[in-house]
Amino acid sequence: MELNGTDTDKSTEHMTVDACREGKPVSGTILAENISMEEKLRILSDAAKYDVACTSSGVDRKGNGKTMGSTVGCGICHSFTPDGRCVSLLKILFTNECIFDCKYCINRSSNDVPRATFTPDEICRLTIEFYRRNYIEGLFLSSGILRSPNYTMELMYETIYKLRKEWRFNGYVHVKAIPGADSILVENIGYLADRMSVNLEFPTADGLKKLAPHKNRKNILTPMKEIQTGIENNRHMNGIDNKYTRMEIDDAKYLEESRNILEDRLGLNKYTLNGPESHIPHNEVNIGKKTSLTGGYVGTKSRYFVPAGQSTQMIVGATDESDYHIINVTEALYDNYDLKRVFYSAFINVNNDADLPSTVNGAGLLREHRLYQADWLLRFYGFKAKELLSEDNPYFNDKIDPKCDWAVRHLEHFPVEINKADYYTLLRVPGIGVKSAKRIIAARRHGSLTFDDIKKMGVVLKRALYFITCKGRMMYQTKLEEKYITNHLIYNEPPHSMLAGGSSVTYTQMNISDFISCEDW
Amino acid sequence: MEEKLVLLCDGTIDGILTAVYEGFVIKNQRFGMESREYRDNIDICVSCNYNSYMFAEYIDIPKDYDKSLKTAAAIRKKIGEEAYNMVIKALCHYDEERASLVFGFLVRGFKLGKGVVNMLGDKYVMKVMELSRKAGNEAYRFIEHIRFKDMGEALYSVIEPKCRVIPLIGAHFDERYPNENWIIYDKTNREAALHKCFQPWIIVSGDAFDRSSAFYDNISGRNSRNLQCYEEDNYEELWKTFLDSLYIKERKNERCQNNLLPKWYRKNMTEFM
Ligand code: SF4
Repeated sequence: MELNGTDTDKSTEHMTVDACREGKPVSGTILAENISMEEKLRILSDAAKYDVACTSSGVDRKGNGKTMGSTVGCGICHSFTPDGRCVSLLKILFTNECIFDCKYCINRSSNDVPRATFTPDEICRLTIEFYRRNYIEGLFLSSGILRSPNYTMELMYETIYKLRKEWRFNGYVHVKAIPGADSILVENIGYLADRMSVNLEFPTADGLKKLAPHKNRKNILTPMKEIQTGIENNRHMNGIDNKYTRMEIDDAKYLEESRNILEDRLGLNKYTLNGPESHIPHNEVNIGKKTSLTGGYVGTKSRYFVPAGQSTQMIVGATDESDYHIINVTEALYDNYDLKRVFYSAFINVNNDADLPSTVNGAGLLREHRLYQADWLLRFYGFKAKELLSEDNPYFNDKIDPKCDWAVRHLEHFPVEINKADYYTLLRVPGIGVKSAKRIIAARRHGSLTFDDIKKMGVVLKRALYFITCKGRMMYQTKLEEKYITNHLIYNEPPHSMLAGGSSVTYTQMNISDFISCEDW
Repeated sequence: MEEKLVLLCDGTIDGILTAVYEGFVIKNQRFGMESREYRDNIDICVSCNYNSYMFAEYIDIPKDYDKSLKTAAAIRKKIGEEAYNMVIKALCHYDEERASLVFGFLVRGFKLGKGVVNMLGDKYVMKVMELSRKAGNEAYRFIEHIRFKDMGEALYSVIEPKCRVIPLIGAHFDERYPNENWIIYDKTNREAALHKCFQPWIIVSGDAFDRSSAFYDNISGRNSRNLQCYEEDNYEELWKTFLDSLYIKERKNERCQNNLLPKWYRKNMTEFM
C-alpha cells in the first residue's frame, strides 16, 4: 500500500528472457503461477522497497525455548544495501496487483508492469528459512489491493496466522493495514503482529486527493485510531498505564497469549460470517472471516495487541507542504495517535508522471534528513514543533541541523554550565545527546568535569564548545553571537560534500545506528 | 624501586579469574594493613615471557574452576552485574594487558562498590570500559552479521572475529534458535559454540577443541568448496536476489554502506561471497 514506485528495468528484462525461453508470449502481465520463486521475490521485494519503516525495534521478547525466534528491543541490522540502508526485515508485498491508481506508485492499475502474488505458505517458508540463516529479524508485510481491501487483508491475515501458529514463528512481524479494510481484520492481525502501520502518504488531505484518487483521509485515519485504541485498551488490561513503558514480554505470557488466541479461533469458527466479500482461500483453513465477540477493540488481559506500537509514513516533496507544516502534522500524530515512529520518504517519480515533481535529488534527501533530525528532537529532546519553525520561517536551514539552528537563534539560553545545568537544559546543547547528557549527570556526582572528561563521554565538542562552560570557563574565546557561531558550525559541517552521491554519509538515509547504539545489550 | 609481581595464566576467562583470585590472596598477605601500601604492584599476564620486567617475581597460576566461580560470584555480589558484564566483555578482548587492567579495576571495585563503573577518570576503569565496549560492539556485529548455512543435520557458521565473541553471542542464538542444532565455529580463536535442539548451548575450546578440530576444519572446508554432497542452498540465492532488488538505485551510496558495514566484516557473509 505504501509503496511509491520502483525501477523495474531489471525485472522486466528477466521476465522477457524467461518468457522467451519457455516459449510464452511476452507481456507485461504474467500470471503468478508461471513465475519462479526467485522471480516472485524479485518483483515483490522490488515493489516494497520504498517503504522506509524497516526497523525491528520496539519490543523485547525473549525466546520461549520451544519455537524459533526472539526479538531484541534496540533493533538489529543484518545487512546494508549499497544505498546504505539497514536490512532488518524481509520486506515484501503480498501482491503487486492493485485495483487503485495512485499516481506516485509503480503498482498503480494503469501501469503495465510484471505482476505477481505470493501464497501464504510461500511467505511463511521464506520468512522461516531466511530467519534460520540469520538473514533477517522477521517479516514486514504490505500489499497492493487485490480485488478489495478486505479480500487482501484476509489473505494477509491468513499469512500471519499461519506463520505464528503453524510455522510457530516467534520473531518480529510488521503488517501494513490496508485502508478501508474491516476493523475486525485489523484487530485480529493486531493480536499476531508486533507492529502495525497505516501510511498517511501525504501531510494534507488535499495532497492525498490529488495523488491518490481512490484513497481518502478518513480510511487512513480510521484504522490508525482503531489500532491506537486497541493498544491503549490492551495496555490498561495488562496494567500498564504509562504509555512510555515498553512492553516486556516473557515466555509464559506469550505462550499463554498464543494459546488464548488459538482457543478463541477454534471457538469462533462457529460464528464465521459469509459476507459478500468473504472468501475462503484454502478449504481447510477457515480463518480470515471471523467476527469478534468482543465487538471491537477491547483487548484481553495477557493478550498483546501490537506490542511494538504503530508507525506511519509520509512522502515528502511530491506536494508542496512546508517543513513547518509537516512537523506540525508529525507532532499531532505523536500526540493524538500515540505513534511510535513517523517515517519520511523523499519522493521518487517512478512513473515519470508529468504532474509530479521530478525525481529525488540531493536536496530531497537533505530535506528528508532534516525532518528525521527534527523528528528526533520532538520525540526525545522535549522540543515542540513551533519552537523549531514558524509560519515566517517554514523551512529548515540547509546548512546547519535543526538543533544548532534553534540554539543560534536562542543564544539567551547559553552558555550552559556543564557542572550545574539540569538534564533537559543539557539536552538542548548542540553536540550533547541523550546518552552523553545522562553520563554527565552521573559522572559529575564524583567531581566536577572538564572538557576532556565530557569529550570522553561522547560530547561532540566541535559543536558544543560555543554553547557551554566547564567550571565557568569557555573552551576557547568564542563569541556568543549568531552569525559568528553559524559560520563556524557550517565550516565544521560543509554542506556540499554531504549531499547524497557525494562523499560523505551524513545526509543519506537515516538509519537507527545513527541514533541508537546497542553497546549495552 | 617498586616491586612487581607477575601472575602467569592462560588467557581463558577461567584462567584469568583464577589468577584474580590468587592475586587478591597475595595482595592481602603482602600488602595488608598499613605495612606496605598497594600501588598496583600485581600484574596478571596471559602470554608472558619471563622478561617483561627484569626484576619481577613470577608465579604460575594453574586454572581452577572453583576459584574462578568464586571470583565471579564475588564480583556480582559486591560490585554488581554491570561491573561483572564489563569484566567478562573486557576479558573477551584480545588486548594483552586485559588481565592486569581487569585486576586493577577489581581492586578499585571491591573498595568502592557499584559506583566504580562511573569513575571514568581512573585509568583502569576507563581502560576496562573501553575494552568491554570494543568487545561488546564486535560481538553485536556478529549477532547481526553471522550467516548460517543449512548443512542438513545442523545450521553451521564460520566466523573470524578479532575478539572472542562466542561467549558473548551464544546466549542470543540460544534464544533465537531453541529448536535447531547449530554450530558456530570461531576460526581465529579456535573455539566453537554447539547447540543441540532443546538443550543448553556449550562452548568447546582448548584441548577439547583441538581434539575435534579436524571436524570443524572439515566442515568449513566442505563449506567453502561447496561440495556436491550438500544440495546447493537455494535460499542463499534467494537472499541475494532479495538484497539486489531491495536497493534503490537513485540513492546508491557505497561509501555509506562501507561505513556501516566495514569490508572486514563481510568475509564470511553469504551475500558478499
Ligand atoms: S493502493 Fe495500489 S496503487 Fe495505491 S499505493 Fe497502494 S499499491 Fe500503489
